[in-house]
Amino acid sequence: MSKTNKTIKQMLAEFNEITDWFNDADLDIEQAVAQYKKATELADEIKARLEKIKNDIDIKVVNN
Amino acid sequence: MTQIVFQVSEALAVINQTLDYAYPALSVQGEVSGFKINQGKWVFFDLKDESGTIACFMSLPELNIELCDGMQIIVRAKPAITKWGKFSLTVQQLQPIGEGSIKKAFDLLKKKLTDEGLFDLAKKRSLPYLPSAIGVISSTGAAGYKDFIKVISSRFPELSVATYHAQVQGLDAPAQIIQGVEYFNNLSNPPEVLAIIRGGGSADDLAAFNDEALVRKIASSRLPTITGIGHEIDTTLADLAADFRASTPSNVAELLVPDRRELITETNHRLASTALFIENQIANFVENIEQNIKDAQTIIMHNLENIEQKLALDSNLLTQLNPENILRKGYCIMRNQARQIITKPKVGDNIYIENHNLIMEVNVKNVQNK
Repeated sequence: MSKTNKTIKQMLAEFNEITDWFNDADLDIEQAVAQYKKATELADEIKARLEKIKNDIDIKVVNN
Repeated sequence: MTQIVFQVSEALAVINQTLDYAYPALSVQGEVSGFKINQGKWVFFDLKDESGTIACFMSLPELNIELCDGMQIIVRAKPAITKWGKFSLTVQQLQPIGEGSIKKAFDLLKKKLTDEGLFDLAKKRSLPYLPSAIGVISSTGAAGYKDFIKVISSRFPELSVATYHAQVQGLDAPAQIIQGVEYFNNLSNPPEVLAIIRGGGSADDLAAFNDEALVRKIASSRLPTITGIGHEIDTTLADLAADFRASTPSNVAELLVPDRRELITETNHRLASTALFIENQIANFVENIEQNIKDAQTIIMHNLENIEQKLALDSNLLTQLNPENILRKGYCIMRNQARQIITKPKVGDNIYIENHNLIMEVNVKNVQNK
């Protein structure tokens, strides 16, 4: 069951923002560990959702 | 039998009525000759073959390609006789045929639209990342459309695809595709991107995508557009007008959405990189701290040595200044009866003389200055 109502796109954006944060050399190590934990949780959620969506595509012809 | 006698105008009307009934729309192929534009509004040319010529007429706004003498074209037209007795075709649609004519029309129109700035790179918009809704204009029965759906479904199924069915070749194709573009552009909740696709074909088959009105409509779309027309080597004017050109319908799907399996791999990679980064940062911190401790130890040791040296010097000095050592050298301390140290005893005083190991009580008999 998904823990969040966010779309995959939103979660990916958040995940990439966190991992990009690590490019800053002057970071606090405790904050870095906290961010890493958050990134790990997000990654697990993203991967679970990506594994789950097999046939969720919605196709319709609008002028039949 | 009574013959019906018509006036000239009546005869013309009857003939035109017959033509209208029998041939409401006629498709005619021929070579363009005598092409001219009058008053900036009316187009006149002849269509001819080896043994015949037909005059053609149309309004300039309806001319959707660049024409010149010598081009082979097909027109869809309504035949009629003018009030001056001239037989002509009123052209409703036309398209070039044969590679030579198609190329000629293509080159002329491309130059015209390029000079207008329609294909400027500065106008191109980027494609949205991971769109949740895509609008597609294609023929739903065509192989190109089916390839597109198959590829996009396997790559990233969590999205909605709205398709506007349209012919993708033939005289009617440009108008239908234009309707599709207008349909999606006018939606109150439009898709994030518009894809116009068709599979491979001959130059004739792809000619619809060089239609001037269609090219202009794509260029003016408020939605970002991507085209996937024909094969990799085919480039139509619609491709140049779009924000992005894919080589095939399948390539459109590949460019629009990422492969979810690749996304998983990339997510794992970023997470691993982040973990490695933290490990390196911690190692750097530990190394810095250890180095700082070592430096501190060095400073402390150095300071301690300095203190020890000073202590040794002071101790030495102290030893030298110890009264006991001075007394051992033969010196004495004189004290009065109150045990106070005195330096000038008087004759008759009873004093104490103290050396390093004796205290003597003595009476002063004589005192002299040295």
